[in-house]
Amino acid sequence: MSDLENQIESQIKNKTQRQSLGAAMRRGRDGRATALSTLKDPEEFRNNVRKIKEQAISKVDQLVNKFSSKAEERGAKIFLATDGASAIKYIAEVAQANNAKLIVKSKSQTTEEIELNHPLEKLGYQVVETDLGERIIQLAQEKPIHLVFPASHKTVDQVANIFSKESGINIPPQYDAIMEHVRESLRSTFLAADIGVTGANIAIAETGTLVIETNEGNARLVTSLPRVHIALVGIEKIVSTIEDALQMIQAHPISASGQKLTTYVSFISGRSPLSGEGSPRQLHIVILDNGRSKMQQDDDFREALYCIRCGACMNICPTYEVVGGHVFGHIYPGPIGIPWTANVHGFDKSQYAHLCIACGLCREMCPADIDIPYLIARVKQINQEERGQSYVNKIVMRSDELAKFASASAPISNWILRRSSLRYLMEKLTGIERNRRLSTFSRNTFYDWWKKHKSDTTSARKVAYFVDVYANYNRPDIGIATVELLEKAGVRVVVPNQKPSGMPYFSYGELDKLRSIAKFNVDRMLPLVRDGFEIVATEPTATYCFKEIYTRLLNTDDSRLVASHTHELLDYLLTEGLTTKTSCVYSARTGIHISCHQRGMNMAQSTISLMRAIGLKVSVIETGTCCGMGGTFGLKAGALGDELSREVGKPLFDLFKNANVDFGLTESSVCMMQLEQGTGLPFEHPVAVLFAAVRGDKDYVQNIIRAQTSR
Amino acid sequence: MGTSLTLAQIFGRELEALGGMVHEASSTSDIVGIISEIAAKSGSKRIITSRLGLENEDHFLTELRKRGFELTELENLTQPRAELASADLAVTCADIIIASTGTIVMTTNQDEQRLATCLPRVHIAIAHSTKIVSNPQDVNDYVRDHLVKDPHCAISFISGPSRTADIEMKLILGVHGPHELHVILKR
Repeated sequence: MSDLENQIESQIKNKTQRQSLGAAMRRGRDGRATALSTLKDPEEFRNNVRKIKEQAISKVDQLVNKFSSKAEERGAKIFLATDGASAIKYIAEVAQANNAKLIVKSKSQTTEEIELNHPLEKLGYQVVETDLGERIIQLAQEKPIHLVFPASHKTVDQVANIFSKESGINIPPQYDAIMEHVRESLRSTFLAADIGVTGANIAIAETGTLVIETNEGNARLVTSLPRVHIALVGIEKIVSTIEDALQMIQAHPISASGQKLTTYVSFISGRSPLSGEGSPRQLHIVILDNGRSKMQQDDDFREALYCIRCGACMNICPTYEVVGGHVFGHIYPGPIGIPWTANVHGFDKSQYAHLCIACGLCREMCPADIDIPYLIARVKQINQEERGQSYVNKIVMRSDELAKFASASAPISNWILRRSSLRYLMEKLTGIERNRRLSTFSRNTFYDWWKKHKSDTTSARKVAYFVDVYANYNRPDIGIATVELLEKAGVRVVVPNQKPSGMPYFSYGELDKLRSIAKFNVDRMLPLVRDGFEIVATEPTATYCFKEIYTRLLNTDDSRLVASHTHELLDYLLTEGLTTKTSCVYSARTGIHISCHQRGMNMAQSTISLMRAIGLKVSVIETGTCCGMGGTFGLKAGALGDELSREVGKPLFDLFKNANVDFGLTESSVCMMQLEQGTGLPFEHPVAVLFAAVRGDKDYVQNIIRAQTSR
Repeated sequence: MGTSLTLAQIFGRELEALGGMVHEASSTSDIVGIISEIAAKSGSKRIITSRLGLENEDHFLTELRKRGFELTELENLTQPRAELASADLAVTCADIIIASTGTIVMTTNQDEQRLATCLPRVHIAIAHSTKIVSNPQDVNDYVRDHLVKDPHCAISFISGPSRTADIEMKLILGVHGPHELHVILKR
């Protein structure tokens, strides 16, 4: 078992951490959602953030120069540090030159990045973190578990113990008592400190000004009590203008915690000291590169520099929630931490990229609209080029070929897949988890049916059906339903030559293979789209591939044209007014699961409306993150697969179990596999139910419910 | 049928949501009354005041002293760090108010001024009710003017009392900065 797997196993057992971290993440998510809802135009807000960062990063060298000369005009000393070691060396020299003993710090991820504290302590300086969360972490000798909430995994009892141990005073496990202790004990530290070290949330090039945001007010003390202020600033923090900075001070807290502004925002330039107390305060600004320029020159990783360090991506990451930032991170945790770690700390430190299950939710959350899933796939790609792909990954990436084989050999294959002794053997041979209940394969495929299917529709409305794997090999009835529903509405249907969408290649970083699949599929669809066809799919991940993944990999106008004409079937039917009269209604309660890939495209509302229209009592059942299946991730045996997958899914399973519903609905074939096994409820694809209602199959829903109970 | 709130009302709503308090005053004696009440409630004895630009500031100071408070003017501090650290309450002014975020804005090139808003447990800021804007973008010119005019200035945006949620996401007020923030809107 690998290190990573061992760590996952031990974190799965750590229920306290998961609970407290989960609460922090929910709070971040909810706060952000509420704050966004008060904005006039949340999309414009996101575009503005993106634009500011894009512009700044595109001319970062120029901004570094401008900022440096402006800050120097105001009396600051500038040091350009190429890496962490040179930054540390400079800061140590400043400390020595000033005969410093005590250094106070306010929260700074960038000082964490270069691991500043240790070398300074080794040189004999006392270094004290003053942000409450950072102080807890410092005393516990840990690393931050979350970018914004560094100690969110600690309980109030643990925190009281930490401070009691440090001070020798018995501090009761009460919030106010801890706060009073911290305030009083750090006050004297602040007053005695020789040097204050901060990061900066923003640096303004046109004026040479630093902007520091805090809620506790500690950075204000760090910058106005000691004789020397040292600020460590990554080059990506520099923006051009004051206007940009005023946008960013809103973007940070809205995305991080849902605040409109942090409690304190300080604009600091070269500053004078307390009147009558000695010579002017020194301001040293250390501008850190540490791999950033290289990122800036890389066409892909440049985008990671748009990160505003709000932590929103980790608040929605399903596997991060289970394992926490100590496992899902090196120093930078969470989804965006993966490309950052790879670039500033090395690709060997970014093995935790395998924890990403490619659900894509982080991108939906990112205020700078960074294509984080793609950047992670790039890290995985570079990792697997250097170290090779694991055997089980190679197997699951060929799941479409396996499906073809299993379908051709059905029902024997189904019999085999239900034999535990044979599954055990299969797990040993392939790495596919033996207890994972796989979807049944159908000997008759959709294509078998389609070849014999005759249609006399001559309508001007034309659709090309993208079948993918499941509706062909497992549930040809869904493929057939799709064709029938469209034709009944007078639409002409064709099924063009195509390859399965290839999402697993994205999940495991085989981007070149996926690019050739993308090209194949786009090339087949393009002439049809030009000829007036719309493309529909019944697998949300397939639609997602066309709209998000293929466009990113191919980056052509053709791929974008195809993407803009690709739809989920039910959304297409409803928005185009192509729904057929149904012959019966159903009176059952159902819970719908919207797959992550579907959420990004905002298409699930049509499914809900259509299911309600046929009488079903539909409730949307969601935890806010993913079901945990991650496509083929949950198929893999062990901690880095099935075990973690089920752990992620548990809260959602519980919601379904307690929701008092008769059956579940979902359009994703893999989510369905996960939820059927996790909840014990029967699940069905909405297209199949809609088609049954059109056919007038009155017992269809009851049969689904009954079949499961008798299982 | 939305009744539209005035900017002052929006400011009040936002600041109070952040745990701050807004008071209104139409005269210097109103201000004396409000400060005395806040000081009494919070058990504050030692008060530091900065230059407030009131019409009859000397009278204001005398009135406050009369009520038994130990009053020091910021410019008369002999050991600013120690005196500010042991003060209970500070009164300063705010230059501009941002309604939608419940924010007061102040600029100084003196550390004393800044520390007065950091160190004591209670901070009272006096602002003119005409100096109020809607959104953070609206202070763009203000920020630019000050940064251009004074190379050593520090501009502070303050929205509510000092806060943290670092332990179990539980909101605690007053870790390092003031526990209480009061804004007196002067008509």
